[in-house]
Amino acid sequence: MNETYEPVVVTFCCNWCSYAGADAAGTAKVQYPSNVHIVRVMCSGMLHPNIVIDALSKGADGVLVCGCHPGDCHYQEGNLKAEKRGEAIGLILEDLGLEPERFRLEWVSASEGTRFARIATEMVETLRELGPNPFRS
Amino acid sequence: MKGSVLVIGAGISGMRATAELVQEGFKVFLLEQRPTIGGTMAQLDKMYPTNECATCTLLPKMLELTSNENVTLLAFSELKEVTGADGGFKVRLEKKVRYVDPTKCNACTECFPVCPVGAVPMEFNFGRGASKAIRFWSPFPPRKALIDPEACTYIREGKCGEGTEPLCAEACEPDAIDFSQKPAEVEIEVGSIILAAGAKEERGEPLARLGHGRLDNVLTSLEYERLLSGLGPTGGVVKRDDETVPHRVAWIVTEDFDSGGRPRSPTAFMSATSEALGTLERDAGAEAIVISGGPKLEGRGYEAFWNDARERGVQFTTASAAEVTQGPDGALVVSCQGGDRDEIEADMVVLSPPLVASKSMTDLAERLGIGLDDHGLPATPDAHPLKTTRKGVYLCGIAQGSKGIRESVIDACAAAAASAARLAGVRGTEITSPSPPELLPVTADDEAKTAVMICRCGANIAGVLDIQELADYVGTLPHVARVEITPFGCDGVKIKELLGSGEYNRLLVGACSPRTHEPLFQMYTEAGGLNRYLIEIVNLRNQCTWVHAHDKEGVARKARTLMRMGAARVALQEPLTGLSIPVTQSCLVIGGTPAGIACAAELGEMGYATYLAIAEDEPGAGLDANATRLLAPHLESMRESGNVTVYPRATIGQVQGFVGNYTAEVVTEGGSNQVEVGTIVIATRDKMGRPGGEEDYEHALYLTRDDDGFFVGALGNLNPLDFNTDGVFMCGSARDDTSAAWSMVSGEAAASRAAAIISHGEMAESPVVSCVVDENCDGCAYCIEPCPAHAITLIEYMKGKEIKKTVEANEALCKGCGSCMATCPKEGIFVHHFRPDHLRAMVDALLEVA
Ligand SMILES: Cc1cc2nc3c(=O)[nH]c(=O)nc-3n(C[C@H](O)[C@H](O)[C@H](O)COP(=O)(O)OP(=O)(O)OC[C@H]3O[C@@H](n4cnc5c(N)ncnc54)[C@H](O)[C@@H]3O)c2cc1C
Ligand code: SF4
Ligand code: FES
Repeated sequence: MNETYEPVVVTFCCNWCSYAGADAAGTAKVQYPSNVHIVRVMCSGMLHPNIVIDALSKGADGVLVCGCHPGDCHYQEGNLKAEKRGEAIGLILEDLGLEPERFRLEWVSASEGTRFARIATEMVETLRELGPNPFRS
Repeated sequence: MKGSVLVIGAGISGMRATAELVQEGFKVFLLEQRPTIGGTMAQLDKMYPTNECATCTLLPKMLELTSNENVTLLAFSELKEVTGADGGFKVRLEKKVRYVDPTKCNACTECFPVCPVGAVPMEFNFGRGASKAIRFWSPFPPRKALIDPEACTYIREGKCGEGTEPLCAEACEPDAIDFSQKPAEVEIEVGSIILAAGAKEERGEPLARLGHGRLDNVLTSLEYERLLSGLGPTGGVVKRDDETVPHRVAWIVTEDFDSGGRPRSPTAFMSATSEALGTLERDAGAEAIVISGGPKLEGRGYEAFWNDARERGVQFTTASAAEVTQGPDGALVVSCQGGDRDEIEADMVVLSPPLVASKSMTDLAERLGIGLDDHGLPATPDAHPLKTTRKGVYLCGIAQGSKGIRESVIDACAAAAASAARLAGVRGTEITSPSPPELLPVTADDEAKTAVMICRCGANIAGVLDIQELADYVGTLPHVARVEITPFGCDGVKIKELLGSGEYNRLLVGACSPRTHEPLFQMYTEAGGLNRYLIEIVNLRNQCTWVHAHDKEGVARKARTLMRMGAARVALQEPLTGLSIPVTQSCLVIGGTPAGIACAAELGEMGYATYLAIAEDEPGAGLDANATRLLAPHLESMRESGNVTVYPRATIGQVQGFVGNYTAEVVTEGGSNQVEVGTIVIATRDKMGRPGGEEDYEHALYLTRDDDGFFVGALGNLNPLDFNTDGVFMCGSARDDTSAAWSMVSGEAAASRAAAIISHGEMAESPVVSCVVDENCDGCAYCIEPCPAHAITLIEYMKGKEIKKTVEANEALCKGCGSCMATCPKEGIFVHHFRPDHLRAMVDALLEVA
């Protein structure tokens, strides 16, 4: 495996809970790897599976989607819809020959800064073990 | 009657009362004796029980107030005399001498380095840290310099450095230095007065016995907060007087020694816990021990906070500390009684005393013409905890008694409601509404010319990142036309300067979190002549420098990547304007609790049509003698105003709509009633839904409860009455268990929250809603079912001879969640500001190699 390989992670966080949770990691100065880059969306249920697939087929090593815990979604059930789409994304990954671990869906509340940092760290570690996305040019 | 209010004290409670009143249509004069605002909260690091950063929470609120045209801030001023009566007070004030004309000072700080007098102790930091004789009093607004006459040698002896001419005056370009300044008298007329003058940590005997003022490294809680604060004298690193970092810190909650039978204050135990936690966050190996008479966990969330602190290593011991001495090696020794250890050694000892009336309260009370109680706090003879002995003078915050920030905010809203109710007849007579800003016409086809502002955020960002290097990189990105660095972007100065030129049609800001600062930055953007959706904020602080502080290379690379992503997105952003929707100027209050009754009565008195749905036979039935006596004035005002319709033995049927426009079914024995309201207040923990009803109102309004059955509200210490669902508020037993008196106060406070919305006939809706792309939509209708707002309908129309299908989205109903966008197989519907091409552009920019 490439020694200098640094995984690139695209993270989509919903505005109401998870983005605030990632902010809370900052406020508490909980450290996590700098490979994780957050894109803010209003709800995890806003994210079209194509956006995730696109990111992976363009060479992102992993995509992490974070939403509110079930029951906490600002729009009621956007997160549950995201969960269903997550299953579909898993199937497409299989078709593309990508490992299922390259996509991860997690619930993070606004106060769970430590949890966000832990998930981010785990994701990067997993991707380090998997090695670079074969679609990376 | 006068449609304006004087608020005395610009701590969080005075600030909040001010903010509520201006939203409700009143002009406010905000009087503060210190040169800067924020009070005690401005001196805190993190807050219990939410662990939020006090500065991050408070600063945006300060800036909102100082930029509001209906707030006249009178900082560094004092009250002289109050004449007149409730509804029409005449107030005489005096502006103190600062030797700087605040209307000319632009906070450039050019005078600071030239001033030859240094080492002036900073009062804001309790003497720690030093400034020049000309300085800012604190890091907070209003950012205007002032001269300390005790320190300035020119004022004292007519000398400045080597010469006899003041060097600051020479350095001051706008010519703001004025040694001939005299105290200025101001006379104002107001309809009511809100006293929010706060309290102080107790000093004196108990503290002296424990070494304060006598031994080095014995501090009070508030002094210690300044050491924890990133804006404090040590930049957030706790240091002893000899500059070494303490590893063993002990807190003594001194109020446990009060034998006068005074109730222990909730703040002392909790603030000690919070500071201990903050200490461990900085140094996980440190020893932090809290010595107290036992945990004091009265508020909601306090116990969880305490448990978290214990889990993270804070030690607690129940004992009484008799004495603090200094051992031969310099270590401090706390002698304890009643605990498991007789002696506790520490490098630093922090004393957490109760909050008591400040010395100046006696003087202030005299000028205000109000009475004081045995503790030296304003007396409240009417059993109402916020009504002083003088009619029309209300009380809030810790000037009323020791309490936390959430409770201070509730008081402030209640005091605002009392003023707004009393002055309802003259609402809107003293305010001016802002003229809509002149906006640069920008279309989607115009090429993006992006101005970039990168904020140092003190040392928060610039202490970790090489800002200049980042700025140079950003300058090479497509569409970026100019890059500027600023010390504190949130003061708005740099944005004004950048946009003032009219040359740029996009603004990219690298700073703190859009979650906290987007509204403020959007406001500045619009004031600068750009539509508020043409700005993008890159979170360089919370999601970069704060979380990768030790990875020099990684943090720099990520900062470049985040800025690249932001630049790509902002270039695609479009100007957006939301609908202006009519607001039904009425409110439904659910629950016949003291809170519900108080809320409905207050809204009725303010003149709004109010519907009170109660389970009881009549309002007030079932209350005990104490509550009945307390609520008598509200029950009477409810009858008198004629604006409150009571629905006894009611249940709530279907509820529909959104902020400003709710329809609710209130079912009584007489039948079903449809009420149209702008806001809804939940004033009871009891379920009031229709038994067996189809859809429960709690569900329809997305309200959730915790394990104890209390409703879960919006996050944050400053939102104690708000739900995440706009236009719905909670009070009384819906939010916690409290006495009838405080339940009533929270009801009055909720009235203020509701009035802030329904005092306007219309409100601006967010333009972040869905939009159908006609070319792509083929009417497959997949998006209809997932839409939680039922905003989408299928329509059929004739095109030539063919029947065509498409969908239509209702902007007023749409919440902008994007479920439709994520479901559509053809990109036939999207949400403005979060378009698929925005997301793709960001991903592409991320994957580009820096
Ligand atoms: C060490 C410490 C830690 C704390 N930690 C927390 C916490 O973590 N969480 C929490 O919820 N609460 C905490 N609290 C309590 C919290 O600080 C208060 O609840 C809150 O700040 C009270 O705000 P206030 O506006 O009522 O009073 P203050 O903040 O005291 O404001 C009063 C203002 O009035 C001004 N003033 C006084 N007299 C006059 C006058 N004569 N004329 C004009 N202006 C005047 C003062 O200068 C001041 O600016 C803490 C308190 C202390 C002391
Ligand atoms: S954005 Fe959400 S609320 Fe709006 S139409 Fe689409 S699904 Fe409905
Ligand atoms: S808003 Fe967080 S997942 Fe829907």
